[in-house]
Amino acid sequence: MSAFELENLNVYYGNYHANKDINMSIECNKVTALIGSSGCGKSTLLRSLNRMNDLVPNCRVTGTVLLEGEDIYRSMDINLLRKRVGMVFQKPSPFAMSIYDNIAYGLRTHGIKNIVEYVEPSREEREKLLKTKAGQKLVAEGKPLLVKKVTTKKEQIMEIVEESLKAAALWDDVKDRLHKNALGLSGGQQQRLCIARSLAISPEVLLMDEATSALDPRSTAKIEELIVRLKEKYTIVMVTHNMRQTMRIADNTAFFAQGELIEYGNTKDIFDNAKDERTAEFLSSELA
Amino acid sequence: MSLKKSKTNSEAINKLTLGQKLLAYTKKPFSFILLIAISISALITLGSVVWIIVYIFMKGTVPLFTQAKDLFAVKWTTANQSMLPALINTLQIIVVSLLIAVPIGVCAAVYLVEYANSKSMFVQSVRLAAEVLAGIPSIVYGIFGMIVFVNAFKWGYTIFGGALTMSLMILPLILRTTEESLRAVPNAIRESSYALGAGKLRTILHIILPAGLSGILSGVIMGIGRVIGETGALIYTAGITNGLGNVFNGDGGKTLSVHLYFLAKEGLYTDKAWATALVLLLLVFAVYGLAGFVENKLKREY
Repeated sequence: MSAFELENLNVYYGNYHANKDINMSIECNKVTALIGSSGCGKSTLLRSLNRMNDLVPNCRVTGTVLLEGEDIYRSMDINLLRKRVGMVFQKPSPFAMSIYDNIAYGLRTHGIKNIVEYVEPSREEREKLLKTKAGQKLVAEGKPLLVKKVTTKKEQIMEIVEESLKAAALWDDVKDRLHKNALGLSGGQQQRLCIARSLAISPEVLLMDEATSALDPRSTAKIEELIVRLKEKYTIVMVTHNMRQTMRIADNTAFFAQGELIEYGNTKDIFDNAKDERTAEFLSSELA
Repeated sequence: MSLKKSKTNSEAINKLTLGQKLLAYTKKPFSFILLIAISISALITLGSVVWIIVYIFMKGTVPLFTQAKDLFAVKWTTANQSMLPALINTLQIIVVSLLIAVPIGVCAAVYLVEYANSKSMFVQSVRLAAEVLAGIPSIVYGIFGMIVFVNAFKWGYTIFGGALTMSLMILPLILRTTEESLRAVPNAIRESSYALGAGKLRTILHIILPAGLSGILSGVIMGIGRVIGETGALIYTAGITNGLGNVFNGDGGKTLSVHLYFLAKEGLYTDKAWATALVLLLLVFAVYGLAGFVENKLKREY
């Protein structure tokens, strides 16, 4: 199964041709790493997947990008696309609000409503209900006795905040200070908060643009661990300059040079016996 | 390599005593002259502010308390020279001019930063216009206000006409400070909001404007300061009558600064002039204090 299908994707910044005729498919529930030297077009490609390039003036995109078969440029609402395809940036960028609000922001953006359900009453509730006229009437008519249960927006948000913080391995660090400003967190914690923020709106794909390059080795290890865990539920596409990291966590690797996709396949194959000279040369110099 | 223990190990080795510093300067006389020059500059700056404030307090405090009944009488008469109507006129003009200038200035800044292409001719000309407007002497605004509001619209001297003139005057100030503060919001924050699927309007209202708030507030404070201190432009638009103006019914009236200007010019009530100056000063302090309080409550800095 593939999450993304790219067909003849070309990206231009003015006259600069940043991505040249890219054709690739990105597998579901796998970690796909995009590698290559600076300026090779890997970040551009990543940013084409959630249409962040649309924010760049004079950027032109041609070709087709399909997400689960749907054309993201021609037939999808851009905000809905970005809900389905989350992104974590190089520099941690939490909003200057509380940890809780950082995560709730995305939820509130996409709207959240009280959930009203009718559920089986507990024994006490049942007895209480049978004493009322309405309850007796229901029994007489042979209808099921149900009570109304409302889950408020606030309760849902709190639940999702906890879930996403746990998923991003940050819950234990911050559970006692959810309402403190997020800017007081350390760099690694901030980055995990950004991951939690993206997870909160339950995306299908998570894009990571050098998400660990601004972090210390310990935080990096934590986030790598997290990525491996997250691929069970999400498809992950990451840009990285760290070849050891790619070897450790990526299932598939795509090597780019001068805007072209040179080689793409299983990470082990690419690192062990690259078919293209340029790939081999790049990897040997990076790993030296 | 041997490690010798220092005898006086608690003495800081990275600090110089005053004597050592002065001794060091004997080798660099030019540096010493510069040091004295910059110290004097700092002292003059601080000294002149302190001097004005202390002087006004010295002259104004006693008459303010002893003649409080006259100075804050509800109705102005030649005998009491009450400043209360003028004070209320000032507040009316501040509120109305902010109500007009802040929304327009902030919206224009949002347009320039978030919507317009920053290299387009239109944006360049709006920015140039704001800069030119900010540099125009206030009396020119006064003449403009008189020609348009007082004469062409046949309003006569009104609080509303004065407030409109003041809003024109502070608009470029608010526009420019807001624009600068919005430009200072890191792009990563914008992108993060968009990447979560938030639209442009939501990003602006929930992320960008709160982050630019302290800049907007500093523009508002400077604007209030200019309105409080304005005389010339208001003499020609809000008038110099002594009564209480009313922004709703077209009455004009002088503001506190204009009132002070005439008190001082006529020279008949010097004590009351000092007391009025003191109240004006306290008003400015209050504005700064309030703004600092609001900023502390609401600020979101990156």
